[in-house]
Amino acid sequence: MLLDETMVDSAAPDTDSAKNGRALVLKNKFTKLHIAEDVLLFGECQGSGKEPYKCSVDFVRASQPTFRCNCPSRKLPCKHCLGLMYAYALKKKFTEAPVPEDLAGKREKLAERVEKKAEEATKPKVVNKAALAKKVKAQLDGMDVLERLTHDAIRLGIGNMSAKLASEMENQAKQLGNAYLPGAQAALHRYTQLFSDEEGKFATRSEAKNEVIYGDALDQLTRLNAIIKQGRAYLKARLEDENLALPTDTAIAAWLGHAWHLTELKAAGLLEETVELVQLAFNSYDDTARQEYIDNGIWMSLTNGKIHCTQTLRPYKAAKFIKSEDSFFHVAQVKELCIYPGSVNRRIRWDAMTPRPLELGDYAKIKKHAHSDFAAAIKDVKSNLKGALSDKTPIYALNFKTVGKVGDYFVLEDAKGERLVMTDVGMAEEPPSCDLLTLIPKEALQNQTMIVRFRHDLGTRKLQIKPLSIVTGNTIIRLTL
Amino acid sequence: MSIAVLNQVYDESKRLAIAGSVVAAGDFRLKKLLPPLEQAGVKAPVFAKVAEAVKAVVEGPEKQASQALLDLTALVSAVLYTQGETGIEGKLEPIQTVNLGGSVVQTSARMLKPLLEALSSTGSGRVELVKEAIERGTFNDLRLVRPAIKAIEDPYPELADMICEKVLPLYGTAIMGELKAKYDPKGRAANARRLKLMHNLDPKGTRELVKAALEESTKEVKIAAIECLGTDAEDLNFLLEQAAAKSQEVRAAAYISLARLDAPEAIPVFEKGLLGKDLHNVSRAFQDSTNPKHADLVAKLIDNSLLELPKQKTKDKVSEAIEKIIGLIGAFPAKANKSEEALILKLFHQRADFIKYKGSNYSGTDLLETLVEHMSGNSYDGTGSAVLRKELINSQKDLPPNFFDHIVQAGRWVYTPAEFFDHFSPYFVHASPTKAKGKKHPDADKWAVILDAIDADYIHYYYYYHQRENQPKLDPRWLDVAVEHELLGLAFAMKVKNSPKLNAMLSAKFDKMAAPKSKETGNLDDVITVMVYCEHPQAVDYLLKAYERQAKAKYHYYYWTFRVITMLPKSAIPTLEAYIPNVKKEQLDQFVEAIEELRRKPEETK
Repeated sequence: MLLDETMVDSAAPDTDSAKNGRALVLKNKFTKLHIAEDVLLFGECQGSGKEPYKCSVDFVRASQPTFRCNCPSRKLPCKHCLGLMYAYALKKKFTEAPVPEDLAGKREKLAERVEKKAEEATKPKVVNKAALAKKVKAQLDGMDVLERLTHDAIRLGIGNMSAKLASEMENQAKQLGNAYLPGAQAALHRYTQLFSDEEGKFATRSEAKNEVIYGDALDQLTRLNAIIKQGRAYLKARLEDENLALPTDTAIAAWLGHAWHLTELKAAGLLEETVELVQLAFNSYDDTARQEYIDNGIWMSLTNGKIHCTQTLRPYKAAKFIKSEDSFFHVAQVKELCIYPGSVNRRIRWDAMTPRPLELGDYAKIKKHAHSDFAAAIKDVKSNLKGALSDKTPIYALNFKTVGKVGDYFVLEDAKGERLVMTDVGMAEEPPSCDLLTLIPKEALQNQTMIVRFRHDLGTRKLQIKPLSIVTGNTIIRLTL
Repeated sequence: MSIAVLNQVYDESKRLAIAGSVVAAGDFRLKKLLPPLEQAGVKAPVFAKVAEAVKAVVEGPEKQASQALLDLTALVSAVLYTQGETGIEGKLEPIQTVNLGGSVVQTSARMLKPLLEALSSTGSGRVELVKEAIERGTFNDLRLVRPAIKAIEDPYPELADMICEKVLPLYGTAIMGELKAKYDPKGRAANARRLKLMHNLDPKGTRELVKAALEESTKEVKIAAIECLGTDAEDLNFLLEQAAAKSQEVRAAAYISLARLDAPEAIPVFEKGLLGKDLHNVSRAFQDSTNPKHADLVAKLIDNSLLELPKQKTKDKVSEAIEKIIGLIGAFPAKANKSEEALILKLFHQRADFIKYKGSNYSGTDLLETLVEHMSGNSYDGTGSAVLRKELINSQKDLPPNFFDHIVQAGRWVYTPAEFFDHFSPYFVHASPTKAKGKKHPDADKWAVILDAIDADYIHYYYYYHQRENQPKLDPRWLDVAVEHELLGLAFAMKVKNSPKLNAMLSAKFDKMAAPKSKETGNLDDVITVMVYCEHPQAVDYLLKAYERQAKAKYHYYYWTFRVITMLPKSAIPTLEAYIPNVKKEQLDQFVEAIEELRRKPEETK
């Protein structure tokens, strides 16, 4: 069984848990350390109480180990399971033992659950039609509220937005949450938050700044308009046809706030098998509109070159119970990759994955999949941007000939001389990255691959890019976090 | 496609959206765009669609104006999204990259986040975290550049100064843009730091900002700006003016910059400062000066003051005159100078004359003490005059015995290691700390002075000791002295590694101190510290024995015992871990934390 300290580090939900888990080993708190069938670690760890905690880590499913412990911690894995793994990684003596009866029982139950789950996934889902109809009606009522608020905003004028009005809108937006439209609620919050400062308070700004905000606000209102139109059409169709499946060609369900289950994605055929993924960039940010921390990973499928994103959403209220994601420097081998509906950079999720080291050939594959012709990539981007609900800041991999400067602007140029101007403006999810190009080794600025985020600025009418990473022949230089 | 008209439509819809759709009906500016849209619509249907949408806004019922305006904006935006301008005209210049001094470090998000938090929050423990990151080279990760720049504003000055001194210079001129953008001459300490840092990174490029800050800025920034001057002759007049400023801090900064300029006009200003209320400020400005004129000025002023000394009639006046000379001696630049040497030697040779002066606070003896101290030079970095040191050593017999420490100190920097040993080791023959009882030899106390002068009188804190590694080497024969007289501090100062005779002495001393009836168990930490530092092969075993022995004592403070763990080589970790079951519960956390710190310690390069 391959298990080293770095793997245990990354399995920990946070740095404190890792530290505490390791300390348990050092303090010799484990009174029993056993291994069974070369895949099951189990032992007993002395805690503050009279009885030791019984913990185990079962690698029978190598890509998805099962952590069990009878301690009261809500963290998964808890420090005792981490300690058990550290003990193994630190080569502490584990004695061979048969699988304990209770664990064998739990294993069986788990296997049954997995089997049942797999079976259930294949069975057609029984829908409580009355409840669904009630829900859809509530959602349609919610759409009316959203429409009224959106129309009020445009009727009164974006420029007349005041603290009182913003507060009233936010209060009324709560009705959208009650109407099963959390996505629409967040979209409305995103509108009102354009007018507030970093502390969330309504702010007055200079005229120039206001112009930018008004542009963004208008864009957000057109998006809300699209959510209303497309959402209402979808909900009405669903109400009429109770068996109507969730749409897979548009992300409207997610825009309204539908949380896709893996089973739903699989059932809808949004699945790719045996995929290898490389993380190209990673960043965490605080989405105040959604009241969530978002860990956002940007990945390329080595199989087909598509760029996807993973999103771990950690609502403020539950943040401490949800493991934050970390940068990933290996290749993730995924047997079943679920892909959300959408156009470019579709969200992905998986149940289980096995890591393998990144090899030189993988960097070559990234380069092979990246766009060498900027003109074609730009055409693709523009075509996607025109959709009202499309991702307005899509991510692409571009093979460039050189990175240079024209005046004060950083510019990316392809082999045909086509240029793209780089900017940090309007892309606040990640920290600014353009200036970091001056700190990159010269050789990484010629004939490499850049991972970029596109953005069209409606104010200046320019389509520009923000650098996220540079992929060379042997490394990925990450510029954002 | 006539994009201009679409852009106009977008701008007008945006205007209406800002003002409110209630005023949209009949809007003449939007209406005015209908004919060109309709005309273009003949060839391209999308323009016709836009024209329809415009009509719905300006001609439709007022109730539907909101929806119509939203539809129009959505339509125009969708078209404009497909027309975004890309590219840029002009010559593509290569980027001036800055070498960060090594390969690009890529740290995991989980590692970076605590550091980012330390740089952007308040609270205790942050300095240590940042220090550790500096040592590990984590700041070479590009993504830390911006947070580090922001940390200039940290409310804890120690952290902000550390970042400015140790971290930000790593990034060179690459961060100039960011520094300039945030720089506000009307700001406080953070902006003073920014200005100094920018000047440090790019003196020429920052020149204008410095000049502007002199005209209009807060006191902190102005002082920083003044300190940045002194590289250009045109600074002179301004600095001369500032040297007469009301604020003492401004004057001090002006003197520092004036000292950088080799300007004859500055000399009278310095003279006035030295003879007036700015003696200390000018002394500070002269500290690093290599300009011989500064030393000449000080020598001249001391000479003049000496002539005045015999004329003083009252004890107060004598005291005042001597105090002035003592102060002026301290104003000599650190680097030795001919005129300084000549003046000091002259004074030293006249000591019999001035020693007789008695003042109310300062007397001739105080002047002699200052003179001798000055002649022995700086004991930390060795700056000072070899001529003066030699003269001091040669006059040893004529000087009172209380100056012996200065003689040893001077000898440390003048003699070769062998000469130093030959000269001073005989004092250990006459007396030693272990044989101090009984009949006292006249030189009995001198061993302690010698040990003090060579920094071997006690076991120094490990990290502090590293800072003093530029001290002159000691002759290897001192080790015999250390072993014979069981001088732990001397053994520590010798920096010998794994010496059999030293190891034997340390083991024997440990056993003696750890004996059941010994009253010295509290000092076992000293022995194990030397064992660890001098790489005694059984250092870790002795450390654990010391712990066991100390645990039997009624009280023991274990802080140092656990600090010594962190000084061990990493190879000691398995032994330490194996010992954990024997550690008392109340010390377990400290013990484990010390092992963790040892584990985190960077590998030493030999």
